[in-house]
Amino acid sequence: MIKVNGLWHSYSKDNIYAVKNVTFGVEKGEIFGFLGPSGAGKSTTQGILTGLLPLQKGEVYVGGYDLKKPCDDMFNIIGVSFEQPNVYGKLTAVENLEFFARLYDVPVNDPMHLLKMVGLENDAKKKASEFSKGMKQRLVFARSMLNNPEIWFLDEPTAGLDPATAGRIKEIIRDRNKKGTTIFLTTHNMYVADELCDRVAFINDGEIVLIDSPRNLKLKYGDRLVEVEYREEGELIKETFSITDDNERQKLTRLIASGNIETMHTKEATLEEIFIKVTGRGLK
Amino acid sequence: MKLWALVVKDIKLSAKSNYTYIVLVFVIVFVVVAVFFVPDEFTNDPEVFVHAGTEGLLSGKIEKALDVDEVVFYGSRDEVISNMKKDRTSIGVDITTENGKMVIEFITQGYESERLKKILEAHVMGWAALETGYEPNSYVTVLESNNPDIPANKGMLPVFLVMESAFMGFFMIAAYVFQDKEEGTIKAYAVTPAKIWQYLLSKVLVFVLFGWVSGLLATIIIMGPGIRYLQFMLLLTSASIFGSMLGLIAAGLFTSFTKAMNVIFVVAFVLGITVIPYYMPSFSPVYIRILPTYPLLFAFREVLFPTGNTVLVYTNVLGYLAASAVLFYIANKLFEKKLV
Ligand SMILES: Nc1ncnc2c1ncn2[C@@H]1O[C@H](COP(=O)(O)OP(=O)(O)OP(=O)(O)O)[C@@H](O)[C@H]1O
Ligand SMILES: [Mg+2]
Repeated sequence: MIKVNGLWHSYSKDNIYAVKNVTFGVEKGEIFGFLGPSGAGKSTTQGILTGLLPLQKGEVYVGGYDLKKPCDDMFNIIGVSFEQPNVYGKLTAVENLEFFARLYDVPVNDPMHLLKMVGLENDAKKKASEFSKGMKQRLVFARSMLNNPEIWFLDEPTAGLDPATAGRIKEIIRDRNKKGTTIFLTTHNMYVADELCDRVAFINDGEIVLIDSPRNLKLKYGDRLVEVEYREEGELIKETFSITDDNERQKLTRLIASGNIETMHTKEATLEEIFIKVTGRGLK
Repeated sequence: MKLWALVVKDIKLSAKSNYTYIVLVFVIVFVVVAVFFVPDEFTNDPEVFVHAGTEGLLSGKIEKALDVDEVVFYGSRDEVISNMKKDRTSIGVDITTENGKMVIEFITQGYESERLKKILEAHVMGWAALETGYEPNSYVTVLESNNPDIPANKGMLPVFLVMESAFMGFFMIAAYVFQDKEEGTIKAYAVTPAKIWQYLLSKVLVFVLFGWVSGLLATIIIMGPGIRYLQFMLLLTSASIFGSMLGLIAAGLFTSFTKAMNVIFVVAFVLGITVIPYYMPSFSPVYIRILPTYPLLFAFREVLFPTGNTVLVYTNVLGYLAASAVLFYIANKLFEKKLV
């Protein structure tokens, strides 16, 4: 559904690039995560893919549309949720959605229904300028679903939301994905990426460092560890064993045989730890 | 109809905007000032500057007869005129004798009302006949011959209309687009299948509507129903469109109002300076006459106070529409290239 080949972008049109030689593809029905620290070039990439930024160098196809020849028709099949809560402050929530709904050539969702989905049904008639940041964020999210997009671009959809609301948003994302929507999700939140994405791309300093499924990444880069609490001569001892190391594995086996274990957890590396391992820097 | 959705939205937004109220207040203040504060003629008797180029007995009689506060005597006709140019509310009278007959020349500024001139003439002529026993000849000389008879308060109307249509359109449309840029809603629009020209045209239409409401309101109140409203609407519309187009260009060139501020003020100043030659035709250098608001002022004056120069009106209408078409094309290109 999305094909990006050798994408470069410079805001200053010189040799300072915000995005460098980015190449990836997103299959139909996939949730693809774009994970990287602030300033890595995530929003820039999304901007180019959604036609907001000009395509300077490289090939980009979105839903079969070549971004070199921009075509308004593409916007009937994509939905874009922005990082910035960009709504008309002077209009009410429902007026905001009603206005945008009229700009599509395809059947659209009922604005009230969408507001209900994101928990804004009671604030539908409130001016958006009176909304909190999280409420505006949800309004932007709801707006991106107006045209039932086949390809859905989400830039930090859960940033700044409380856990319950964030959970609700994630639920909607999973739900639509099950119905076949392809999702390009930009975030620097590794938990969100881990929970939702079929595959993630690590992006750092404008470059994609690696692309794989969260599970494979953990298998490949994370030490697989087991954390054990056991009693020895009345004392509680906590110890971590690597199951990739032969010695430690044998020690663990002996310990299990002794029957003194009180608790036992497998401990896998987080995406953040892997990111640090690969790039030498954190996600923050 | 995407364009209709846009127009409805833009009207809703402007109905909730402070700018709109500023414009409305401006209209009301202007109308109130024009109707109540600026007299439609000089209610204070204007000063009359007199040169009596007669001799002997007659001269004495004139001075005695005209011994009132408003009359100032000067030694020559030239002096009368040069002083009239300093005091634009004054009126001149030059009295001479020719072949034994008294000749009275009335020198006017050009913008006195017909009524005032009649009163003055009747007054002076009556006096002359009565006091001197002469039956004088008289004629009128107008200092600024291209000043038609326009009462001061109505004479302000073309200036107001240019401000209201071209100027307001320019300022407000730029302000509104910059607000969309700031809020980021222009990005949200850009990822819908609607077109840029629709976005831009909607704004223009809304400000044309604005121009109509405020321009018509003021004009109907001040001029009444008796003017050529078809010509008036054509001119008002084309001027509003033109002003809006300039605003779109300014909004397309910059990313925020702050960055565009300097340019906007320079443009506003340059366009506004044409008011000077409108009021003082003796100062009308070429570099001011080529500014687009210069012909516009005179075209509005022609519509409101016709002198028969209808061509001027229609050339303006066509000129502004043609220029607007070009500017609209450029604005589209600007926004296509750099929407956010
Ligand atoms: N409008 C712009 N003009 C110039 N440079 C920009 C602009 N927007 C972003 N950049 C630069 O491009 C680089 C990538 O920015 P981008 O917004 O894509 O990062 P991001 O990964 O989305 O970060 P965040 O997680 O903070 O949203 C940064 O160095 C940033 O300073
Ligand atoms: Mg970003």
